[in-house]
Amino acid sequence: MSAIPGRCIYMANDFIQQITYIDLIWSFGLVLLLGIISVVEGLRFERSLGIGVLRTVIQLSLVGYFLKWIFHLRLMWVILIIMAVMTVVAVRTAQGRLKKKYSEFQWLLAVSLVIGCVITTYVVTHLVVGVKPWWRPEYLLPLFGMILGNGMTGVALAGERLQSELEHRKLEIETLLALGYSSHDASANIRRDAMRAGLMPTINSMMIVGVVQLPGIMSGQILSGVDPTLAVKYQIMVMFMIAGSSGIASWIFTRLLLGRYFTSAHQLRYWMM
Amino acid sequence: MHKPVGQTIIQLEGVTYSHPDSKGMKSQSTLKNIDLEIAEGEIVSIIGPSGSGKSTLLRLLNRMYDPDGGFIKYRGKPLSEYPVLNLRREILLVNQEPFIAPGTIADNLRMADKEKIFTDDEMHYVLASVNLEDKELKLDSQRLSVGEKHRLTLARAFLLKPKVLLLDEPASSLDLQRARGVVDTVGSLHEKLNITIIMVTHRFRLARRLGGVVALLVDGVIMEKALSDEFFNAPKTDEARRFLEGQEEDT
Repeated sequence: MSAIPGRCIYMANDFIQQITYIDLIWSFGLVLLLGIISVVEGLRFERSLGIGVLRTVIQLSLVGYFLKWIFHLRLMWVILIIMAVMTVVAVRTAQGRLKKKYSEFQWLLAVSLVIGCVITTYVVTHLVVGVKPWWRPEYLLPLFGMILGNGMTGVALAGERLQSELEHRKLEIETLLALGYSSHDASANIRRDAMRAGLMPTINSMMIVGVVQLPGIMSGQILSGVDPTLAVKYQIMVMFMIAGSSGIASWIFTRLLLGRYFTSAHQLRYWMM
Repeated sequence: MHKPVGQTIIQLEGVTYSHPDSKGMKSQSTLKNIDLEIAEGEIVSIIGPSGSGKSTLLRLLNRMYDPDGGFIKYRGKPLSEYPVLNLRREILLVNQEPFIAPGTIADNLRMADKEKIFTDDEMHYVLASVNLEDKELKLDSQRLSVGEKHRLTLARAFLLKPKVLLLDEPASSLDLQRARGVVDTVGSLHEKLNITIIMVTHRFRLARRLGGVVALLVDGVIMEKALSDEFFNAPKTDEARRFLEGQEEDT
């Protein structure tokens, strides 16, 4: 049994089944079978499958050893640098999904993600899990990774949708502005649709979670020997934090992004579309 | 050039404007040194070839765009001194393409002001003003013909009782006969409400039908401005003569 500082949580270590790289060869056999099917049937995906297998093994192994080293180091500034790098990568990835990529949008993405993810991370690490110290890497990095990843997906979807709607509904916006609507009111429908686009995947997964399949966090914890009723609480926390990060970040980003498309005199910056 | 009779309601002096490129940079001027005075209650048609800057000029008048140079005054004060949302309800623009939202005729009329509740009587009155009195308020607006949609947008504009009406190529997608019907509606509204109307069109016959004052805009410059009869019967400038001769009309 092992105890974790902060809250008293016990894990039954003797239930964790160890697997070696040699054991993994059996699972590789499944992929190998796929490769054989591809060759025999002439499907021609064996090359990309092979590259995918190599990258999976190399990348995840490197990440695993890297995380082991980070957990061993136990230095707060290292954790914060890693989080900063993750955020920069998330911003660049989300920027790549936008149709129109003005450089100023990177800052809007950064602000939205930082605010959305910081709020969510604080709530989760301080108020829910209550781990001490708050930057404990075994908790902070995986949780922040999920929060950031879903926040990134949310803002990318919302931003993509917003730009598309602005282009397709330009006549509607101009008509409303000409009738004396403020830019806020003229773009209300577009804002709503963009937020929906950012949040719907999360809401849809909340509808089916646990019904179609056991979600990842819960499955991983149960495999590690955690009591299922505790694993469920973690999973619920994760679902809520995903909704929180993607929702808050999307909300901030849609407001900031729309603000760039209008002037203070409620004029549409039509040349940006 | 024709000088307006009566109190000047809109005045442009030395107005220039360039459309920004995708990076927001401005280069070639769309409008060059525009001087124009419009009297209260006047009908002014701004005609010219496509791409001459007519729609751009219209959008400067209700601050959908702001000029790069010069000034525009409304009732003697620069446009920038008016709260822009109120200004747009007084100087009201009706777009070239009618935007009709999904919903009933009443829904589209109520779009004019989301905070005000228009009575059925008010809505029936404006519909009658644009010859749509036979249409029910609860009719699905998508079932209207294109010409009727144009008139519905006029009715929506009139609910706000603007002082100046800006019409951007009204009925451009209609054949000449139906377009004349829309222009006649505009003319009758002008008589009833005595508002100032500024219409831009590339179809000079509509401008001629509406009467009033005609200003010719070519390559962003006003070439000639005169009373309608003077302009069409005895144009003074070569540009005006060339424009009138070169016009291809709908049959």
